Amino acid sequence: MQYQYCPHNPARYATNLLRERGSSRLYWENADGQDVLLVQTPFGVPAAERMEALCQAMGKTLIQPGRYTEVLPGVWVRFVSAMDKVQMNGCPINTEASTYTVFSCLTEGEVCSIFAPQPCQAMISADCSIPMRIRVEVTEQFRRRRQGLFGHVMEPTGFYTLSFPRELAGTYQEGGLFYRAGGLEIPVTRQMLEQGVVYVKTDIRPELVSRNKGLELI
Amino acid sequence: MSFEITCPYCFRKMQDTEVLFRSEKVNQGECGLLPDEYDGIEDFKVRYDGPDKESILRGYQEWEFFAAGPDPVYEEFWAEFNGTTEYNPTDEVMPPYVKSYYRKVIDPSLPEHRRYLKPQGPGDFFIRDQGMVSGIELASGNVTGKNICNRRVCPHCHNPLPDGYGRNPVKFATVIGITGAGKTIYLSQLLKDMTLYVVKAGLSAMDSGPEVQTFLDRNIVAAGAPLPGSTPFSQLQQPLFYEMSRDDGNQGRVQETFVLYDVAGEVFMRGDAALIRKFAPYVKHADGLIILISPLQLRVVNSVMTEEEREKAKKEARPDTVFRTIHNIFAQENGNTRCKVPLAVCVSKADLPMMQRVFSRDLQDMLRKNVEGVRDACGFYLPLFNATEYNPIFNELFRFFQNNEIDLAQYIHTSYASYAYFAFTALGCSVEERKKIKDSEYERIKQQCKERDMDPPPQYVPVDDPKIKDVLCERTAEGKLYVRSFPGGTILPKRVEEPLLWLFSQLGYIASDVLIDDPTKPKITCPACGSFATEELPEDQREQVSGWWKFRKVEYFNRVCRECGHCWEQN
Repeated sequence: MQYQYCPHNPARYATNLLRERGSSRLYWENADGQDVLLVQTPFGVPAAERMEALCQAMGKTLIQPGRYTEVLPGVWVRFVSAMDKVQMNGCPINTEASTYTVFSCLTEGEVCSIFAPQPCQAMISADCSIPMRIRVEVTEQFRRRRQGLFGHVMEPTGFYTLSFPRELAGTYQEGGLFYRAGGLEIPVTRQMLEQGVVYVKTDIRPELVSRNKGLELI
Repeated sequence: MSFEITCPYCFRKMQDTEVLFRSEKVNQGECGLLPDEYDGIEDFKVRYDGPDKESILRGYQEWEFFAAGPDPVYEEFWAEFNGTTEYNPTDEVMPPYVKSYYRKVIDPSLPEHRRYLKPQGPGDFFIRDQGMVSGIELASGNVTGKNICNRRVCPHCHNPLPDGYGRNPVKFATVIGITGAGKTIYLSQLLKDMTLYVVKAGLSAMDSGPEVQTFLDRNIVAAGAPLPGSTPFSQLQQPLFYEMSRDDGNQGRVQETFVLYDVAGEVFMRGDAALIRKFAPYVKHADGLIILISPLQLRVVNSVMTEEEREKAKKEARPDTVFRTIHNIFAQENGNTRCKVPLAVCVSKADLPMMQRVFSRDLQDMLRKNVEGVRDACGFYLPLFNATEYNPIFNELFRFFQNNEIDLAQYIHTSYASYAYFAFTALGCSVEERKKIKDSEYERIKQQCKERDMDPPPQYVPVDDPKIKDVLCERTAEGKLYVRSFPGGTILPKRVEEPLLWLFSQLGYIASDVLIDDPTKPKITCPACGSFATEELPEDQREQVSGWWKFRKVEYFNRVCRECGHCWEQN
């Protein structure tokens, strides 16, 4: 399949992408009966700026129907037909802490035309940034030490554990999270998130810092 | 059982038994009963001596009674407003093809009218529906045999009362658009999806009467179609009727009638006392007001405008006069007190570039969201206004008006007891001006395109289209280029329903999920949890007794937090 990015066509529009409140579904407005392409990009990066490159990458990737497919590092796409939109009442989001953009598209033979969203609509937008609110537990580790005949005391081991939510690993962008211990800032890597719990050897309580606007620490 | 009805046109009250009816039987043209040799009825009376003279005269009288023609009472009412705006599309497609307001008005209380009616009981000529007078029956039917007349009209002004009007409590709301605020487009967009909007407040709305559809047909807002122009300010538009129903929370249904009026702001801006007097009843009797302001009418917006935008803004008038005139109308009745009618102050066209320059980033983000209702666990909307979502928007807009339009904000604050600010876009896209190719030239262009096997251009083309020279385009009587506004992209209204839903909460149709921020009351936070959702305790709950005998303790509180239940004494 060949993908081409076309200028905005008023007859083919898809816009007003919003996350439905209290759900993990995206909803948008589009011209009747038209299919759309949903593009998930790192938080705060609208896809419209990278569509030329994305079209090339999509041409080389097998796009899986009915699910999100990663076509470039951190960029996922999903085609949603008019029928799917009705049946699913929109489309579920892939993961949070991302920006989603909706494009109207038209497939004719082996060519899929993707139409640019309408520019200069202040209150209506084809993209929608979904932040992720995460809680990272920072726990000091203790060990029991015997004291006297029957008693025991808890003493610090010199380790802290950082417990990350597992669902974060899927779309995590390197450099989004750091932990600060003393004067040191250590980046949190995707491997660490996949691990779930990470032990940090330090006497100072590590402090989590987010450099990604899409990741809100609570 | 009797129903008291307030006329939605003249606001005079009547009992349901006092209403009049437009006749179903209508006679038009020449009466065929008189023999040809007579010049008229007077001539016939003088010269004819036949035995059937009485029966011909009776027949002639009946024919004359039902003859279609202007109704002086109705005409007098509408003469004040430059003629009627009543239009019923069925008049054109159903026999006898006569305008509704030309039908004979029958007063069942008059003996000379009763002659043509069929009694429904001893001395009773009314047909009732659920206890309310809904029609009368003619002694002889019309050409199609129909003899039930159920087109009720007000006995005072002879204007039509919609089917079932008066059975349920009625609330009136008036929408006033200050010149250039886009009231017609707003109303068109609001009415188009009214049923979908009100469902967000757990309500169902059904238009009663042809007025809503007629309004929508006359003011089409669609891609590729010219946007509706402004309505003549001295003309009274037809009231728009809705039957609102909601769950009463006890296995039943509550029904109410909601009437919307469309009044031009120009009426209140010109200082023309006679004009204001004509339209004053539609403000004075309103249970709620929605006033639309265009961003171009706000002073602060001027400071961030480009030269081109400023040129256009010069045409826009300040909104202050409208607020003052409206308050004066209420003051005539209630003295110099604050107007208690809920007032929704709405900034229309909130998506204009200059509005984005003056609105805070937070406000822009909030306005980008759709208005959401409050749902129950099953996903059905509850009869609640979503104040959780609205309060932050209100606070931002309140700050915006206080910081930038303090004179207007101060006036509203001191003159209106219940008001709120809103911002919306009825189009959601830019507006572009297009010139119209003259019909004759357009035919020629179409012909040329056909010969070359090309698609012809649209008849309206962008003003700056270099391919179509201005000489080919239509001009106004003043010689200026005839230009119409068109939507410049996809039409997607945003937040247009919010003022209406707020109004519903003020009218008692719905409650709110949390307390709606009230600018007229200072915000008191809970000392325990910091919530703004605090309220004064009723007098009988202010003393709280704990313990007994020697340990009996009486404490006095006057405020309670609705969030955490904490009570305290607020000085």
